[in-house]
Amino acid sequence: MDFFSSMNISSSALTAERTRMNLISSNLANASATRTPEGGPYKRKDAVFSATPLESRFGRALDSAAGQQTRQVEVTEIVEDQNPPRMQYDPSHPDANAQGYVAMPNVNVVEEMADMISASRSYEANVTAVQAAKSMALKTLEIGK
Amino acid sequence: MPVDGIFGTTIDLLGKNIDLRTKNQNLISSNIANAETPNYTPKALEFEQELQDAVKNRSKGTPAITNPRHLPLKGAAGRLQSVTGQVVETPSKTPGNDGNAVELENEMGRLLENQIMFNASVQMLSKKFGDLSMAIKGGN
Amino acid sequence: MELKGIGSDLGLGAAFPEVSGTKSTSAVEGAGKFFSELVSKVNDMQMQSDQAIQGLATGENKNLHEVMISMEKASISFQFLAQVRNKAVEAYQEVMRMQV
Repeated sequence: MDFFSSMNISSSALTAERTRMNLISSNLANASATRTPEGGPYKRKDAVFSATPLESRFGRALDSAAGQQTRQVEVTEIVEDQNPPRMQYDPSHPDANAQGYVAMPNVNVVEEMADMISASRSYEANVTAVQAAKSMALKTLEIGK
Repeated sequence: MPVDGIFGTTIDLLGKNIDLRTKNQNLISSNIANAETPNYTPKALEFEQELQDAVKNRSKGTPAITNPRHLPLKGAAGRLQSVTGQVVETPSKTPGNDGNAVELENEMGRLLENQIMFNASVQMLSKKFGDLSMAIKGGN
Repeated sequence: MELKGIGSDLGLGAAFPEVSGTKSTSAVEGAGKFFSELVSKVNDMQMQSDQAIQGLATGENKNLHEVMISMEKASISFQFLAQVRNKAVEAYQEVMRMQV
């Protein structure tokens, strides 16, 4: 039985959480960007996680019922938040429209901070899972010592 | 096979325990990895009751031979060979807004328990083998 | 303060509490009885430790420390038995080596 599929699952989660952190950082950095190459204010980006079955190296026929239920996590797409931008009254801003409102990005800084905490907590949990699998594998080598 | 008799039921039981806990480890890793995925329910492997029944000869079915080239084992070893554990879903009572039902604290607790029991089984198995080889060597 | 000799109530005497009472039979019978009791005691300890391990593995008994202690007890008592046997065999061989 393998420990390596357990480590693969956990490392896929680490990658996914890191992608999410990158998106959160980008959202926070651009919280006041009113111009983008696509035109209009910056739109908040989010990652969509989905649980996908593992690609087994030896074929799925060898997996038991427990093996077939394991799922790794993948970022399947990065979506832009379609909420309307926040309008702020500032007639002196170069990007103000005819009524004097500026379209600011729809980034809520407090929400992004909460997401960041949750992502880093998930990351730590997955690191602990990798360490647990590693210690079990090393301990198995000690049978017969 | 005469030499199989020196290993008792306990060594088979410990071996099977280690096997099942490895599979449980994979499931727990899946749960922790998918702690933020929408509409995911955590899964666990239940095997302790089945192991108890196999050891005490309370099981109802006959042991299945998974590979036709396996020699059929008699008695407790045969029953132990057929224990595979059941995958059960263990959703939390308060799922989040996105349908995710993983309780991270529960999963960390289960991860730790699995790891400790696994290490204990490995240590007991190596101690039993050590005792056997000491007995064969004549007490030195 | 009374000086106690070695073996009065130190370890060895405590290790064979029931056996040291049999003085009525001859030496050979006494030794045989001693060995058979020791073997059966060691066997009991091994069975006990097996039961404890099975209990832990199937989840009915969650006491890890009890299991580890009983395993260690069984192992040490078995080593003790093996050493006693070795010494007895050595002593026998020494006696047989004596020139008559």
